[in-house]
Amino acid sequence: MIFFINAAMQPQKSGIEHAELKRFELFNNHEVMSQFVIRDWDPKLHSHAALAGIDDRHLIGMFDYFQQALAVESTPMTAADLDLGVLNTHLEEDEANHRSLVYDADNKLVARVNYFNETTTVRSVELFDSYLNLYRVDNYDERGFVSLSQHYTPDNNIGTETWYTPNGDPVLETFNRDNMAKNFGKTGWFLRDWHGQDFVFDSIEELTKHFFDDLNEDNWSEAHPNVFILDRSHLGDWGLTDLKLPAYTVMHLHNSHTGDAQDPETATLNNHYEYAINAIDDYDAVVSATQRQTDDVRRRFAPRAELFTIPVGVVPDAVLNEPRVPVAERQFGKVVAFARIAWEKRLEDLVKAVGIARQTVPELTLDLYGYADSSDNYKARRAVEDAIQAYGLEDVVQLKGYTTDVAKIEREAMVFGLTSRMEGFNLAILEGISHGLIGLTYDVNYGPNEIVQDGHNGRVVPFGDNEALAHALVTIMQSRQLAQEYSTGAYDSAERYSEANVWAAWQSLLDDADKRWPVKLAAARLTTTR
Amino acid sequence: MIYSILENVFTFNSGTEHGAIRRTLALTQTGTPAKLLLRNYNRFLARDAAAVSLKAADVVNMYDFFQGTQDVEREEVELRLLPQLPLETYHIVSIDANVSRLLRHGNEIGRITVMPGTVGLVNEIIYTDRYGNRTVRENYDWRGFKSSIDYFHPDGQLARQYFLNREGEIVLEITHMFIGDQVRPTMWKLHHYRGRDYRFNTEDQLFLFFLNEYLKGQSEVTLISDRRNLDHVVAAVTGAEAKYAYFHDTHLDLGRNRVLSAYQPVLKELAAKFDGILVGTAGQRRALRNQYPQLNVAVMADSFVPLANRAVQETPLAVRDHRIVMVGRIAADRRPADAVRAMEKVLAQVPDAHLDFYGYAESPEMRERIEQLIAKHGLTDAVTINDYQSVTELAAQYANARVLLSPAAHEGLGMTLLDAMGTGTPVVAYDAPYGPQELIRPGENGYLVRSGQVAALAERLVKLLTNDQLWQQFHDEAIATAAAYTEDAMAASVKEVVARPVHQ
Repeated sequence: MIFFINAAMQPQKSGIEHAELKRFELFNNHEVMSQFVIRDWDPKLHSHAALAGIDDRHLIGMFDYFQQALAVESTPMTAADLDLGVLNTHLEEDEANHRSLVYDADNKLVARVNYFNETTTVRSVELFDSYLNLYRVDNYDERGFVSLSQHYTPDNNIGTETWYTPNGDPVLETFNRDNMAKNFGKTGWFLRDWHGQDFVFDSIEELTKHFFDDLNEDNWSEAHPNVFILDRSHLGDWGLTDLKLPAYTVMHLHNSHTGDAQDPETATLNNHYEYAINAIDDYDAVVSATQRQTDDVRRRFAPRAELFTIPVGVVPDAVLNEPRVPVAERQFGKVVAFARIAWEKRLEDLVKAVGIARQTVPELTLDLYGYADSSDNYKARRAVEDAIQAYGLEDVVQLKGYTTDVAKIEREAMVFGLTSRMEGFNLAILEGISHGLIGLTYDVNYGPNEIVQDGHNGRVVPFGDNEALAHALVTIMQSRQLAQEYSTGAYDSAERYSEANVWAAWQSLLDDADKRWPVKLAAARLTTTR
Repeated sequence: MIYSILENVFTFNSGTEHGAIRRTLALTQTGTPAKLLLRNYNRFLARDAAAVSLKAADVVNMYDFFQGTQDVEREEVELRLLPQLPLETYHIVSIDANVSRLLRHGNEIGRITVMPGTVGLVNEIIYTDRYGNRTVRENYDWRGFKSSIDYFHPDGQLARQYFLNREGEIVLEITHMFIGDQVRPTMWKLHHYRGRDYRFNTEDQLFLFFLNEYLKGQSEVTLISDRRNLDHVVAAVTGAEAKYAYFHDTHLDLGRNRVLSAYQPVLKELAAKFDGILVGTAGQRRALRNQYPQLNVAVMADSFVPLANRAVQETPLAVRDHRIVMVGRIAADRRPADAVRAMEKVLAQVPDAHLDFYGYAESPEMRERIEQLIAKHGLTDAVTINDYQSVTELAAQYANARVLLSPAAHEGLGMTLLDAMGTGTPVVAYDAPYGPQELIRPGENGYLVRSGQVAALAERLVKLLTNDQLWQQFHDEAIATAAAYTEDAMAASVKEVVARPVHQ
């Protein structure tokens, strides 16, 4: 089995989820079975996964796994279905808080029932004893069973938390306690009656490792190794390298491996990858999305692990075969960017470049698509707004918010602008060139400076040089011929990311896994044939 | 069916339990259906019941009823063979015969305690987090199955108790939260009992539910409430033919001649719910009838002399030596201090006299007080405080003594008096209501001394210790008196009351 390891699959996805979903589609198209391994508890995991096109067969939530709830027929719980063990209760609606209050015959509060947004499906039930202590909150899975009970302490903290099977048997517990310094937090986990045995763990990492070991054993095959692709390193950078049985483990870089992406030789490692990179030889393979990053990793760390360059973006054949829109039919001067409005995207630089270039090409306009990051009280959006004000671009630059209508917008615009501080790949600019948008980017690691080929499908200007960016923009706008050349180059260059090309890269990884398997089996003395 | 209602059959039982236990034994041994109905959780019940000769069928415990574990045969489960412990991952390292450590990577993750009185059988598995906080405690029944699981609040106080059926499913939980500023049990909840959940605010509400469920569909049910704190539950039970409250001790605060508060409900507001009050002596019946002429009060035997005692009643004087025994709780109302003071005087005349206490102290402070008193009077060699002993063990102690000393301020019947007399051991007692006055004919089978007259106690003790001929007469008379108290007589006495509703 091939596992893609992630923390969650929320409706609002980051580049990592998008990369995984594209990979998933590719594997499905090539009829290679893969499964999403989701580590964090989510009572709506199955509907969230369904939104992303993942069905139960391709989904293993760690909590679901231990709760024996991987595939459960959905029978949503309503308030009327609740058995509170109290006779003669009555319900009062509290519409302002989207909840119902349950009282006993003496009008004493028994429970508060909370619902999933815009439904009458029970999300949680807060339970009170006859002394009106809140003693427990039952959190329901959307499929209609108590998934997690949070047991409260007399002083109203969460003490023990318990996860149950759909039949109501407790299977997993975590304890919140003081440590010696009187800091309150999780101090342990207890896995109960798991194949008849009880296990204790100090941390969720230890539990997760046990889970990986179970997955490896459940899916054991002498013909092929299980392939674990770690898409978020904190979920298993220790656990995956300490498996009981052999497997083929893959560490997938989705971002720069150094904190300063522009200094891959000497900069401090990106915190997320620090442990994994230091343990790099404990993996069988490391995947980067760009050749440039693969080369940097090889140069600096000289790992024994096999290095693969596999783009995380795939341009579907349907897009490659779309009729091309000539530059002349596009809105002249329209620059677009698809990115979260966040510090690392540095969109104020793009705004400034447009501001400068507009002095020469007054038709220039800029549309920013993406939701604003709320960090530091929307600091990134405020920087963008300051730049707009400084260059008087109130009528030129628009913050459009998040959109799903990307293709249509990109077929009508001219230039895709990118000014990030760092990137792991940037699916957005790949999609941009696949729709014939001229790429215009800083020389930023990793992705933009590989997807955009300077002088072929757009321009790559020095990192952080917004005047150079403005100058490039002016140059493109002043020559219809050049613009058309770049746009054609963009359409052509998307071919590098065709399904066939990306699949070939994956196939080489899977071939490597199979090639190494007999040796691994023999080394672990697990081969049954001699 | 005659049901006697108790909290528990304990490891150390008082006269109240023994009275109800002997009633049940007397009835079942003479072919009349009878059982004890017990409220408290007791995972040692199988052992404790067997220790007082009860068979499994003689007791129905509320928790066992809901857990479906009434009829489980004992199986010895060794802590090193627990199937749930992954021993390829954890080490079990024995500390001593009572406890072992559970280690993971050399760190303690829990302890396993050994079932008391066994070698290596599992009692509890107590898991701890890496800071040593208790997290989970799994409790085994004496019969060798996991019976309950406890969870703790972060401060270490009990938070939840789960009770399991044989499949390991939770059938009942107790939640411990604030009542005022104290953490106490606040809720009992049955899980999926006949398909539904039921929540109770007190254990007694649950007990009432249990009694009604258990008795449902039964006919000719007689309930005897032996514990005053359970009278209100028994009063509320539906579907019993008859209900009685048995008084195993005096209902009066003798100093102030007032009814003890524990006895007031059944004599007043609950009285109409009962068919009558049962007592062990005619004296107590008279006292009740004087104060409550409208109440039905009947005498029903409170005990019989066990075979173990009768078997050793001819133990010769040479064996009995100059030993005196005192049996029962070491509590203020049993006047242990008077016994010590009397011993000081006895020793002046009988230097080799020895007094043995048998019984548990009502509190550690009480035991310390008596020990200090013994030391203060220089009686350390002459007075020994021994542990609680079983009925059979006690028979031997009575037989090895010349006299039973009973300076108690009050007794119902006084089971220890009767057991001693049935073992041929005369009694020197305070002239207390109600049993001593009924059982002892002064100067024939024992002596009664006015309460508080320590010198007189000593003088009577010396007489029986030194005058062999006198002792022999008393011995014969004591046996004769106790001879009337047999299983058959007790069973007949119970059946007579039940068969013929109490009338004035």
